[in-house]
Amino acid sequence: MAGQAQALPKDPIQTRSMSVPIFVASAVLVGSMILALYDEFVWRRPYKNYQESFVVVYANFLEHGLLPRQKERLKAIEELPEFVELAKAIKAEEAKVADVNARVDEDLIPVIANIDRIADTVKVARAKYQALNYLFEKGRHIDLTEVEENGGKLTGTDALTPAQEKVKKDMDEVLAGPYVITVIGEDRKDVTLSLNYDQLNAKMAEFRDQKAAGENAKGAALKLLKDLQARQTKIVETNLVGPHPESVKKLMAASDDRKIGASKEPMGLRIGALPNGQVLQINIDTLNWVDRCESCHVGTREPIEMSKDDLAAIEENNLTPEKAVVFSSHPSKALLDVHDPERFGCSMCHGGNGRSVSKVELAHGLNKHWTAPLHPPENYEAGCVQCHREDLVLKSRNVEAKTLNEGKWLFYWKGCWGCHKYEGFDREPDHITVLEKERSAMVKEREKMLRDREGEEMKAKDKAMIDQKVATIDTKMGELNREINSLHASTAKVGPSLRDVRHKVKRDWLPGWIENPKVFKPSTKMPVFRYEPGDVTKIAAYLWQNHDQKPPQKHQPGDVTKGQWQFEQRGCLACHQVQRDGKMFGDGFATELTRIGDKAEFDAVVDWILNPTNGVMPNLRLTVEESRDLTTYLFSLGTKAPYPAAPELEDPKLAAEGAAIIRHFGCAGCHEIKGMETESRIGTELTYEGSKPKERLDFGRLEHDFKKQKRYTHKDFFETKLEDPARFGLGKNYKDPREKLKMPNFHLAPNEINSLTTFLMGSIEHELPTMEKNTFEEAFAYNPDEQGQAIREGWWVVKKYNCVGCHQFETGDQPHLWTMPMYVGKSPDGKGDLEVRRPPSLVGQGFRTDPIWLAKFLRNPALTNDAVTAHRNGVRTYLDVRMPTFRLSDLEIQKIVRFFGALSAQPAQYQKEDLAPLSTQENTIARALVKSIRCINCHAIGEPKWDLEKANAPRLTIMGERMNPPWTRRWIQNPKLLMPGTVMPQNFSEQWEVEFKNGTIYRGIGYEESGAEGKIKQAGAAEPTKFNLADLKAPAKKTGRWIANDVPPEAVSYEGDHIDLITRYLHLNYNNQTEIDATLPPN
Amino acid sequence: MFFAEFDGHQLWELVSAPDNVPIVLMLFMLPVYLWMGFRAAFANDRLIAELEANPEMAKTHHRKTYPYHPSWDKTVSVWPYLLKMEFLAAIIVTIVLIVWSVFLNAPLEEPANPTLTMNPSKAPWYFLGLQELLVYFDPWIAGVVLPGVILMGLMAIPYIDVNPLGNGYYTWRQRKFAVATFMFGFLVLWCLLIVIGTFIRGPGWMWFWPGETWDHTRVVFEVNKDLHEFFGIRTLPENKWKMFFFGGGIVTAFSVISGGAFHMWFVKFAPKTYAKLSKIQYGHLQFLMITLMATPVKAILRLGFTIKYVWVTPWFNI
Repeated sequence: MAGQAQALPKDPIQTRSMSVPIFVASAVLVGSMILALYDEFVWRRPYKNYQESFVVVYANFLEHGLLPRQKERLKAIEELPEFVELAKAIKAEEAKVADVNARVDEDLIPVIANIDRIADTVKVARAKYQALNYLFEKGRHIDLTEVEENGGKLTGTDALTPAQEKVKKDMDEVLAGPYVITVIGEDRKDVTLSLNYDQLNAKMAEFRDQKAAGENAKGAALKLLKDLQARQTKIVETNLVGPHPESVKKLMAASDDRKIGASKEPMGLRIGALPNGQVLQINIDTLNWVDRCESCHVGTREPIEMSKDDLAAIEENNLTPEKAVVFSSHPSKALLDVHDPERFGCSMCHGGNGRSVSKVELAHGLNKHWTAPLHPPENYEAGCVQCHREDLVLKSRNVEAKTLNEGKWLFYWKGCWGCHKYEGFDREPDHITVLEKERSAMVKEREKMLRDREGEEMKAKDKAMIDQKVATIDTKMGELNREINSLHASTAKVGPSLRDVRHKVKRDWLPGWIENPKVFKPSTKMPVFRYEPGDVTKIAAYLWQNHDQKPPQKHQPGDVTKGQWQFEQRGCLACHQVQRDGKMFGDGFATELTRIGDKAEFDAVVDWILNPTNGVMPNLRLTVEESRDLTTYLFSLGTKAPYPAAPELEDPKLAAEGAAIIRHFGCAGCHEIKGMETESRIGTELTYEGSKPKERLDFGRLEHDFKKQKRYTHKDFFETKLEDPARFGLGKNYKDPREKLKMPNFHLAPNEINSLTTFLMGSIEHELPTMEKNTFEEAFAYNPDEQGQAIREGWWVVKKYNCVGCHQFETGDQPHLWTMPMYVGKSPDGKGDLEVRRPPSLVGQGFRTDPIWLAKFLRNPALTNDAVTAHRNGVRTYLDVRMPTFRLSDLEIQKIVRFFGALSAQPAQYQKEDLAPLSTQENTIARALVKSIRCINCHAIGEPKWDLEKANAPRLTIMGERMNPPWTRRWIQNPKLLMPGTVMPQNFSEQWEVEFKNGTIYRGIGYEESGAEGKIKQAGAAEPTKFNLADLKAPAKKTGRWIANDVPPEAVSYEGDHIDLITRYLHLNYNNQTEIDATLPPN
Repeated sequence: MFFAEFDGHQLWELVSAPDNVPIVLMLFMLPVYLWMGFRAAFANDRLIAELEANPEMAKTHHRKTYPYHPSWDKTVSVWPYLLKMEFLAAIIVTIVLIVWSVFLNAPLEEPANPTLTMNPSKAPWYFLGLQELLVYFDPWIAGVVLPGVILMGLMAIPYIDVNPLGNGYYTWRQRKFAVATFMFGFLVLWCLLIVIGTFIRGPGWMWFWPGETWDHTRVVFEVNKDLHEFFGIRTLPENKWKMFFFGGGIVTAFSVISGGAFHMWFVKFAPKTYAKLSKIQYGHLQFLMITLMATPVKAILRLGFTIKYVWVTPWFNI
């Protein structure tokens, strides 16, 4: 116990050392600091790794991908005959100059050695002399005041100071030398010379001159060889796609040495500027926008194309295409050329968080809080919308936004804008609003002026002035009113007008159709609504009882066979389709007509074809008989299935209830309905739907599950909504069924859903102001010049009326009608190729035709109002397929005309070329030319019988008004050049001239050389003249004058250009009946 | 449960948000430290009782912390005995902060958009208690007066506190009133309100139980009336004096009743302290106690009885 008592418990506070815990904690602290540093420099900078790997991947690509490919390409070029020839010549020349070179080189050896030997001595002597000279020339200090007082002269003695004397002495020493040098003398033996300064310099100059002379001699000898080599290089340069293998090798060396960050050279490739762990960023000051995407995607702007597949194909890289994508170059160089990343950045188009470089997920903006996630590949084109909002069609020569174009088109064509406002899609109504504002301003101004005029103190002069002003306003108002009216006329809703439903369709068919249109016609655009019981009858009753059209005329049935011919040959299939053998035949732009007989009234359809009154359906100018035949044919296609009788549609009480339901479902968005003219849209505006906060998108009861599945995004919302518009209403209870989601189901195909989603995803608004106080739109949106604007506007009209269904606008386009069996292959009646019967290509149309004429033609393609000929085509009278009369507004015509002009890069102002009138003699010659070329064998001339039966080329008699003279000239010279595949032959050739040693000159065409003999066909001669090539004074040459292949006797003596003559003749005189008669062929 | 569907995902989102992690931590740390504090306090209390049994020791021995041995020094120096512990604590806190900052990123959200306010818009977690008070009082009271009272009250404590015991050691027995009051003010009126603001308040500052889905479109019946409206006085400008006197009366009555009750209790259970307090000191104590009690009462009235304000005046509302 005592022992224990002595061992008192120790005071834990005073005795506990704490060293161990503090040491452990300190160690852990150091560890945590290392962790923090590692985190800072490695975990949060993954781009360093990518950059490291890029260097390796890039080097591998150069060595195993690019080099072999370029070598192969070079090899192919080296096998070209011209290259081989040059190579031979070079070899021969090399052998020739080798001797000369060797001799000169031999002579130069001692010279070069001499220069080498004395260079040091000369250098030292000069340096000494110059340094002393500086000291000497500097002179002495002077005092300005003193000099001025002394009348501008120095005071005191001119004698040198002792220091200067010393310098002078030193200089003299340097000049005197002597410099002892040993040089190689004439007999190649060493000679020792002792020279002063000047002699030394002279010796050096002498050696230099000797060297220069030797090199000049060498250069002269090598000149031809150099030229040949330059030509060879030129061939390689012109033919080799991509860099030369030698350049690639240099690049490889650079990347081996890791010449990282050295220079922006070599060859303009980025290898010289390869990053070394730094953040690479694009900074757009005006938007305060920073994109650091290239920190990982280092190769984006690599000038050599380097696709992910290229990189993955290289074994050494050991990459899958999915992984290689980070190293690849931008897949569309053409796109980057137009959208310079320095100006637009990356994430502005692609989405994602351009500033973040710490994690892939964050940089791509896929984290929860980033509002603009990276667009997935299938929606890349969403990025275009923000700047190209007003373009319906986005394409240029080498880039095309296919998905987006489809999406925008679907939005327009399916009539989404009937319920959902989207800025820019209400083309006509928007325009009308602008013009009406202008008009009301004018009305106000006019009223004010008239009031002022009534004022008492007005003088007569002022009154007259006001009258004049009012008159000007009146004229302008007249124009404005016309414009507004034509805009009203061309406003078309997506669906057909329902004002004449009662006369147009069968009553019993109506309810079934409204219930589910896809049952009757799966191809219909009309979506399926989710009605409450009883709705369908009420809607049908309202439509059935509210009409304002007169009943159609009575028509007799026509001939089915003739009708089928009309249907297939007149061009109906460019827009419409029918089912044939279980497949669709024709184009889906307009409604499918297979079952039209099952729903429509015969008389109404006949009348409609004769005069379609709403929508974009044009008038094909058929006769009543043709229309009857056509309708009879169409009616023969249906199944004739009966419908349950629906007499309740006559019940006025149901109709009255129907009005509210029609309003509820917004039917008037797509259809014209009597009594619903002023209905507003029922859907939400979608202009900026892509940047709407997600909380405001109605995910309904699914919001939570979408979040869980990481599908709480705009993309998934749009896709789900488009696939099944009722989806987000699932699980909810509705006290009032009218509160259910209204959007009908369009049964869109997956690609259609993707296109529309792309379009909507891209419809975003940039809310934050830019630094320069202008909006994003002003600073960055596509703001084209006049031509671009014309093309942008033109597409809206051209697509609205489906001009692209019949015509080719750009080389390579395939209009749907062209691919139909009626226009492919040989004609069964042996009349030649069917291709010539299809609607003409409009490539170069803006250059080809006179815009004023084109406007006139678009207004009335028959070019006449004559009762008989008005049914035909105005230009290509021989075509069965008909250019129909569209109900185009003046503005639309203007836009189409300018669209063509802009596509052919024509200026906005058209100035028709002034052609010199023909003299009587010229007229006779030209007439003879037209006959001899036999223009009228093919061309139509306005003679109905000829035009319809024989002609297969456009009317010549309207040339003057229709054509642009420069085009005519170029066309006649070489039609195939302007329009490959045309049947128009080349009737003229450029004249050759051969001059003989004896002074004789032959001029003619068809110049040919064979062996020692040449031949040329002279004007008027039946056979070519042959001659000996040895007799020629100089090689044959072209004169630049074009003459007919078949020169008529009248024209033999004509000195002028035949093409110019015939152009002037056709343009100026060929609308004259006497001329036409005079040129007709004998039969 | 209070609601139909349990939503574990929502709950996880809430507790795993970097901003809320400290609160989750607080939920666990508070009880732990409370327990540690009270364990020390009770141990000391026992020691004090032991020492008090020995009159000599009771007067002279100041080191009333457990463990204890009579042979130990009466006092220990700050350096090194306190400072080395503090140094260790500083190191551990630094480690925790560094590791925390490496693995939990700053809770950045969307780029700021002046045209769009987030819903719910929450203050930083340490201010959520004050933000929660905004539900019960008007901004003037909740945002200015009450924080002011809290600060002034904390500053006043040394001047009101006349009990010399309990300096430098944990004790319950010697400072029951002070400890209980503090625990009520801190745990209930500060921490609980932060927890409510963090985990309970969802879109529209509506009440969502943990695990209930935060539905942005939720609509609840929340028509709150001023107290006087139950007594036939409508909240109208022309009734302003009626409302003023009615509410003023109620508040005065509450103050008198609760103040009186506190007085009776205080006099009975702490007569010695009461005797030591001057009138001014006691007056301040009364005021702070009434305010302390009034705050939860108002919260209960608002949450339980849909009473918006008790006292409506043109200048402030309570």
